[in-house]
Amino acid sequence: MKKNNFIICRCEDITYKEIEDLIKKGFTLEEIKKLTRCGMGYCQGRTCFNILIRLLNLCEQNLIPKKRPPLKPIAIKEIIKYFENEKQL
Amino acid sequence: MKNSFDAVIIGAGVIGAATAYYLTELGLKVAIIEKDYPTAGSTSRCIGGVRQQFAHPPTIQLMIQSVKLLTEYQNDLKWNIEWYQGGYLFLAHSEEKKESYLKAIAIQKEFNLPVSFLSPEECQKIVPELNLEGLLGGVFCPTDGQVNPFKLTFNYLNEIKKKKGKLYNFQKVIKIEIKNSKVIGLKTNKNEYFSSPIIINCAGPFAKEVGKLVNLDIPIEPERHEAIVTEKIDKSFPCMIVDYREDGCYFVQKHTTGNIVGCYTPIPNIPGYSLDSSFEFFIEMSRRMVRIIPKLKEIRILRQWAGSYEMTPDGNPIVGETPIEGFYLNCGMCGHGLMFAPAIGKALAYYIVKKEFILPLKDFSLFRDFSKKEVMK
Repeated sequence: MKKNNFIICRCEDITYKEIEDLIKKGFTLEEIKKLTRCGMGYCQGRTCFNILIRLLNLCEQNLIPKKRPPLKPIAIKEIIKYFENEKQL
Repeated sequence: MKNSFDAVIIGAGVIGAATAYYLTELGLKVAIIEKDYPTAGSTSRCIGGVRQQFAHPPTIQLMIQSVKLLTEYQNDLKWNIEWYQGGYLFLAHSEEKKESYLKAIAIQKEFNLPVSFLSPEECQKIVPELNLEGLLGGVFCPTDGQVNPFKLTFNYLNEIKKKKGKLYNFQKVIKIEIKNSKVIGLKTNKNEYFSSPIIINCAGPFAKEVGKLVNLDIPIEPERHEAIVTEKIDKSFPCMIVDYREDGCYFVQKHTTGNIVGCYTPIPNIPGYSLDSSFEFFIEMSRRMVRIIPKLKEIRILRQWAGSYEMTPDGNPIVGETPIEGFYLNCGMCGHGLMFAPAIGKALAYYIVKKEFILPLKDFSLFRDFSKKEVMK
């Protein structure tokens, strides 16, 4: 397998090469995330960020993007069910 | 001197980037100073809508220009900015709302906007899964749309680097030097000095803080707005759907990825620069979205986040000169920065370089009367 074709972000199909090109241009983790959508897919970076952080060798300017709720994807109907139960209480 | 520029811009959000782009187009040597990375403030937190449906004539004129410029970037300059004209649909659930939309339409028609009031059934043709309960109709403008805020900003920055522009990331402006009530330069926390006769405040939610560096009180207060994004789904509707009820919301499906992004304006508003997420928003947003399109209850939410709207007393931006010679403002976008950016950046650049008004910027002066409010905030 060629190193360049490695998929780093499985949700958004981002390859090693795409990331490497941006790192070479001097972009930081936050910028790479926004430009490629790496870490913005279904897993919200749970799979790819560790690899990405390794690649970027975490310097001061590459702080890990903030973790945001929900902890994992949740169906809207479940949220509404919660809302309606709250109302009854 | 190494750090001598024709103009220095504070803030590399979409507003700063657009202003810098047009200044370099006009031949100036420009530096952008950004305290974080580009788009880190408000630009990267916005949901990407661009609309021309406003009630304030100068705003309408600027937005029409923005739409024209975005189309040019994509079609003529071949920028990859994901610009897509899917329209904006404003829903009316009360006679009062309908009335105010009809009044706005009358103003918008004067500028030849292809906007019209649709019956509930006509709305449903655009948004097939729309809930018609209590709906009196909606205003639709097909030339409004959506654009990718990061890609637009990075395209601007890419272009300025090709010309006489330079971007300085992770540097915060700590001092602005004034001599004989003229700006002469500024200093950053990395102890670098930039000399320039023109300094433009494009600091978004931090514009007030930057104003304090020159003892200028700019009437801008940031407010927290939250947003959510759902998983990708098949194309369901092309337009931004806006529900202006007190417990309304607005959301759009990204035409490139299929995610739905949405937010609402909290009542009462939440002043201050907080970017925390709240559980209340998570639940309320879900409920409000499903009330408009019931079928959405089947999909999942991936993430919620927050960003700032930098509000001015009348809901319109503050652009142009200040009492300090050479110190310009381009801030207070009230949540419309992305859609203002192309036109307002161009207009301010032309004003600074050629002293000519290519668009009605006078109405956004710092010295205006702030008592008239924008109706379609």
